[in-house]
Amino acid sequence: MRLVAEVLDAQLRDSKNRRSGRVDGIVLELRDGKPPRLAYIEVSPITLLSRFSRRLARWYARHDRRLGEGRGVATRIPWTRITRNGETLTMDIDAESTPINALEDWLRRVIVERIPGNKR
Amino acid sequence: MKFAEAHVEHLLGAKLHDSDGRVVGRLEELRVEIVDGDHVVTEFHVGGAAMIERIAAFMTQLPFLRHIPFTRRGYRVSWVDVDLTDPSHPRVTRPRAALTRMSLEASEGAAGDS
Amino acid sequence: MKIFQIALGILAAIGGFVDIGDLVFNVAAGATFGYQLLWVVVVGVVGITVYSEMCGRVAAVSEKAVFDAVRERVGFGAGLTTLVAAQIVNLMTLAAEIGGMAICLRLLSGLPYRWLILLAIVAITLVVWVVSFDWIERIFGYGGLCLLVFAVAAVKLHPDWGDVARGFVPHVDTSDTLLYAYFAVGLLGAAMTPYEVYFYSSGAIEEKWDESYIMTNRAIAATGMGLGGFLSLSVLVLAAIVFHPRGVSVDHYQQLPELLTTVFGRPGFWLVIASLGIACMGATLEIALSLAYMVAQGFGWNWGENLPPREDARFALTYTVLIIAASVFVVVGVDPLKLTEISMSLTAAALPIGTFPFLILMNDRAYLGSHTNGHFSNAVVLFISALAAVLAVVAIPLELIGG
Repeated sequence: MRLVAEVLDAQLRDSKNRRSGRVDGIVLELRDGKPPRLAYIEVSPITLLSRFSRRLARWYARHDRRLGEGRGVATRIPWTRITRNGETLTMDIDAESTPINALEDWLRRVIVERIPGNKR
Repeated sequence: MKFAEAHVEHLLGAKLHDSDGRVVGRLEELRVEIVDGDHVVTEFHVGGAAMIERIAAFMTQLPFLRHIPFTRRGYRVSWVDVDLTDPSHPRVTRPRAALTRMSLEASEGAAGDS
Repeated sequence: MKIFQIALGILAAIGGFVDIGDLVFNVAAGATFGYQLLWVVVVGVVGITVYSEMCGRVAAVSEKAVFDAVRERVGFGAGLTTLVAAQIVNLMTLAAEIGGMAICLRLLSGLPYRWLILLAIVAITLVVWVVSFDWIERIFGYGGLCLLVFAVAAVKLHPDWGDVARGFVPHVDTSDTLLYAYFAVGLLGAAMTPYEVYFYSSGAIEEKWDESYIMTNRAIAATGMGLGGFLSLSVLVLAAIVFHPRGVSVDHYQQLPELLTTVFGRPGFWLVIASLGIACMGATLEIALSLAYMVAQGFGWNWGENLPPREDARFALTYTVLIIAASVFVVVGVDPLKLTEISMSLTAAALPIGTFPFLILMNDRAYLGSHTNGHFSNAVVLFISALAAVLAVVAIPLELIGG
């Protein structure tokens, strides 16, 4: 498996097969005398921004922290919870139990659900 | 559980130097295999040839590609020979001449039918 | 039956070939050069048909829309560049189409243009919010067939078919070669708009295409884009018959009704309004959705016009915000037709930028299995991109100096 070509930026789906963002980052565990181990994937605007500008990522994290407990840090999914299906990665976790869709949930509650026709 | 970590998205594109301070190339890919039940990085692919292989494997079939110097440079570096003590400055612990070169070979069959 | 999904191909083509900017541009091309530029439209049709077939193939085989796959394949940096470039050009075109809808309403009602822009925004937002993708496709895809009235009018005016046929052979019969090149670039850019193919492939995912749709995709791409091209040619021929002999130059939408009133009298005016209205609204929906699809796919969000907005809040808010943002251009008074001309030229010039990641994808067996491009498709893509870029290098300076 090739990490950059096949894992980084791959679409992630959750246990209910819903699109749940992309793999924005990959965390390797460094071990003395052993090869680096694939530990986590990260799904987060903080991680994505850090690829562009670390300063922007820190700024975003600072503001995200204000939105609640557990916010302000990248969401990490253990690699052991991931299976590969072609070019798509599927995690055996419901995205709603993670902060991955926090922004989407907030937008739905605060804006979308107040507009008529949102349920069709 | 805290551990020493490195982020692949930040390693990507990092310029690696060998033990003599010579430039080996930019890190373009990390090869992973399952060892003792764990997914571990076994190789680091470095240089222009590695980039071509990662982005557009079909281009390896183009006859003129081998004449472009950039695409001929590439190394497969074993994990043993990469020092990630400082992940923001990864380095190769052997001389460049001792590293395994990558060669651009046709990695796929002929193009399919449209 | 799968073939009824032809509406997807038609809707994609309508938005690409016969939105208001393309209509006025085609009319201006016919009025200025007669039939001389017909061959350019054909080149554009061939190009967009090949592109559409490829994008539909990606969707059917990989079950991902084309930008989704490109983003994954070429990574963050290149994906972001493609996204930003496409958004800038498409936002201009979206603004032009919203302006086009307001123009239609103005022709109909005579009410102040700026108020009608607001009405157009409300109408579009309402439709995209409340109507599912399936119904948008049916209404505006099949509704776009009313534009065939331009072909009927052209036939009724009995053109010299020999002269028309000569227009399909590339030739330059004018001393104003720079203006000719400028129109050629614009017509190519009008035919080869990226949002058409992003919309088409995303639509294929909305329709849940799989590998069994490979042959259907070819038929839909060819028929839909072929029909769009036929409509575009009809408008050009009609303009060549009505305006060219009199040396009338066309640069304002108010001249459009004359195309049909010449043949049908007063009812021709209503036919122009109806066909323009459907074409503009269809194009607006297509571009707005295409823009939102790209953003959602770029970030891996949940998306789908067949989903109610509450189930894909970020996607729904993206197209809403983009419609409003694009409207700002026309509300402040930017001429929608000028916007279209600029976006068409930029599209042509930017084609090679988007082509390289696209070609990478089309030759990648991980996504397409045994259905990767053959040499013909690769050659067509490269040739048309190169042609568009070369012409644009000539024409864009002309555009900038107001030629």
